[in-house]
Amino acid sequence: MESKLKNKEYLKLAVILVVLFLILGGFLLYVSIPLLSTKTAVLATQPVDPFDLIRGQYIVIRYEIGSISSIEGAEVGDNVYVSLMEDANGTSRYKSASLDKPSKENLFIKGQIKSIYGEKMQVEYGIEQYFFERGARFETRGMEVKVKLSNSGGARIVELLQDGAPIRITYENKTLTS
Amino acid sequence: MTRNEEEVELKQHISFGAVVATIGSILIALGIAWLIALNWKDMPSALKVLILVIATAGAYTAGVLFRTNDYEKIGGSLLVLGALLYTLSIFLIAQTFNLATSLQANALLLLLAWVGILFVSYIFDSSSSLVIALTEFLVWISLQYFSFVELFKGEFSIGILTIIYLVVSMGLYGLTQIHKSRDHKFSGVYRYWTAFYVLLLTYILSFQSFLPMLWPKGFESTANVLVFLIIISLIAIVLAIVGIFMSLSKNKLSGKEVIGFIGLVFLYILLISLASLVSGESVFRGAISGGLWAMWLFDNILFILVILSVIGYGTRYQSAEIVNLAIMFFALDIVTRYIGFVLDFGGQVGFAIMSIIGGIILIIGGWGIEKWRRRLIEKTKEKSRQGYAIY
Repeated sequence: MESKLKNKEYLKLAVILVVLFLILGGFLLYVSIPLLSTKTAVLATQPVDPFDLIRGQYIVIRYEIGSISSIEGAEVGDNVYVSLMEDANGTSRYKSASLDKPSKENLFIKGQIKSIYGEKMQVEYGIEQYFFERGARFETRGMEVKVKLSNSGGARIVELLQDGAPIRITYENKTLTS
Repeated sequence: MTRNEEEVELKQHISFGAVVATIGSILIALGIAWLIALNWKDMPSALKVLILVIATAGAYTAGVLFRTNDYEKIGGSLLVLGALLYTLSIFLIAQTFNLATSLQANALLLLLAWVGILFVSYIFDSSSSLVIALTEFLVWISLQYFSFVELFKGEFSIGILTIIYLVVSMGLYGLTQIHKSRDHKFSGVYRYWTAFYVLLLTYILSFQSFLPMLWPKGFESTANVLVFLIIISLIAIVLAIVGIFMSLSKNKLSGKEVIGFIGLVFLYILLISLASLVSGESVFRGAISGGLWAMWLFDNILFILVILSVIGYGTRYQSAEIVNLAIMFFALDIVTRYIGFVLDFGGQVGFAIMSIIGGIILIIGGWGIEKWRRRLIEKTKEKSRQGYAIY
């Protein structure tokens, strides 16, 4: 191949790599925004344990604030802002909920309404899963989740807690055939 | 051995090497995907993402190096590896940040993936990358529809899904014509996928049990599904109109084909709409209405006709891939109807008799299909050797 054509191919490669890295970097930045925040909340949970073929082993975490009182005028699919209040143990619990975003100074988390049944509605916050290596063993009773919250209420999991300390996870020994 | 035969043999070796290299690329991606699923705790997440990003860049760089050194096919298969690794990078980032596992979340990840790969395929002029982008597009568009159903706890309507596939096939037909008018090699890839969507759509319509589920009783589509449908329909219609005009203006498309295409689209719209007449009927309980029988029979006859038309279409455009695709759907049709008859006649004795009869039919049918397939491919090659100017 002529050197001019080769240079053109290398230029194309550079363009491709820049664009793909921009997409990956932008995505990485977008999902990191809540982690850059200083706002932290510890949420009470009720977990279960499935497996995703593409993304591996994870626990599905059901939060205490996953089921809250219905708001007038709210519909399935709407965004909802749940204000939180710390109790004496440092766990953030439900204070109130609104379809309007509270002011930045408040501790609140953004969720999406999944279903409404009478007086109650189910809300998801995008933090209902935590991935770990296969063969992990840990006690899920009384587990809490430490999350970081962005100014817009977006949340990311920081770590799993038990009795206020990081949860102890033990793993099965791996072999080449496991 | 004549020079011509030597060239053919060399070409076969090259494409065999490309197939082996592509399988190798897919195996590497599969292995890495499995490692991601294992989610090693000993390796920091940032390092895992970095390794995958470097591997993606490495695969693309190696692909370009092979292409620039006259190993076009091997380079192409490395671009496939790069595309798969790029997709896996997105999923690994999602795993690292414990992002939602809902259908909508996965659909968004796939959207990021196929858009990036589509961009790569145009910059590198790489058909193999385009195939990966279109495969991910198929999964994305299906997942996107299912995620709307999940999110809004809406009733599942196969009718909406068939409309989506019909609309996509229209858009792909438009893209086929746009590329054909510019003598671009992607026209063959888009043509193949147009045929795939039309066959898939007709296959879905050929199920007796699906017809009453096309429009469930009392079904109301949610606003989001409608907006999604309107947006993709507008894009598809614009692509189809632009493509048809571009091809017609360069005399690369016959008026007959355009009429056939428009007629087929209207026939599908009519069939999908008519299914509302049998809405809510149960094929598993008691007698089936005459209307449902008639519709089912018509759809199955149509399926066979569409298969034959696609074979004709593949032969006309000298595409052995399209001919093979149509024959694969024909085999799928036979197997599906066979299982359907077993379910309908029921009982262990019935099952045994149907198995034996079906087995004999399948063996004879398989032999016949293989013979038919070889003859058709031979005919296609023959036309190709004669240098037919077919568009």
